[in-house]
Amino acid sequence: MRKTHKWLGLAIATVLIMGIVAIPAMSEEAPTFGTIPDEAWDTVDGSVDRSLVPDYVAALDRSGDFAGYVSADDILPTDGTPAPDGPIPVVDGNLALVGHMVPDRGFVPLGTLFEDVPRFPVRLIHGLEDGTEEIVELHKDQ
Amino acid sequence: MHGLLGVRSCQEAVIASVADNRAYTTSWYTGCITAKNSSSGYLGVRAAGYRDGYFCNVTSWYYNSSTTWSFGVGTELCSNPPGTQSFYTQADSRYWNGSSYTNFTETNSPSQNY
Repeated sequence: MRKTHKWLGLAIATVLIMGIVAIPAMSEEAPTFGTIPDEAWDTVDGSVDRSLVPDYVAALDRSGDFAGYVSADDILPTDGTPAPDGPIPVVDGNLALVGHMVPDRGFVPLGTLFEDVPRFPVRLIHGLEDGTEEIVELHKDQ
Repeated sequence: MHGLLGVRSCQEAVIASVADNRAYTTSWYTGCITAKNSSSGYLGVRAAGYRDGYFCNVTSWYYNSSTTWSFGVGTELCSNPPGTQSFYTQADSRYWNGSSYTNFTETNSPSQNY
């Protein structure tokens, strides 16, 4: 009788442990992939409706071809905090790393040095007191 | 904040011309009515570009190198293939408050179709 209770207790404990482990795993939703729909951009108050943004946003390379996906948290602000600086990981649909989006350079696939990809020409615009602008161009020769 | 109360940064994101993503930040007295000059390094800005909901790329952070009331960065972050595309610019900016940078985020341009 005592042995039966022991086995019953063990069985119940096993079921409970499996439940504790399995429930969070089952409740974890698969990440979503896609583009940002037009309706997510609120151009009146300048915000982005994150509920309409997929977890991973499709990204383009410099030629305009599909490069992979970047995490929305890496490109959009969260609670007023800007997205982090630096290269942004780019993954495929299985979340395997395929390259990086490098500020000023664009998509750099794995195996290529960032420095080997030329920077975009950039214009820096200073407003002058007379209402005109002074424009300085950088990276023109790259 | 820059030795004066009430100075703030106001930012703007625009598509200046075809696929030209520009992010501006300007320093103003309270209310974004009267512009105010800021010393070198006080204004920081970066622009991110999107086309048809795809992320194209983002610039580095750039900082004003001379005294100015308005500072911006502009570049073509997205390719512009034949046909009509919808472009957005997202602006991030920061303002030196005397001890650290205060960040301003989430300003998006109206979409421009080219």
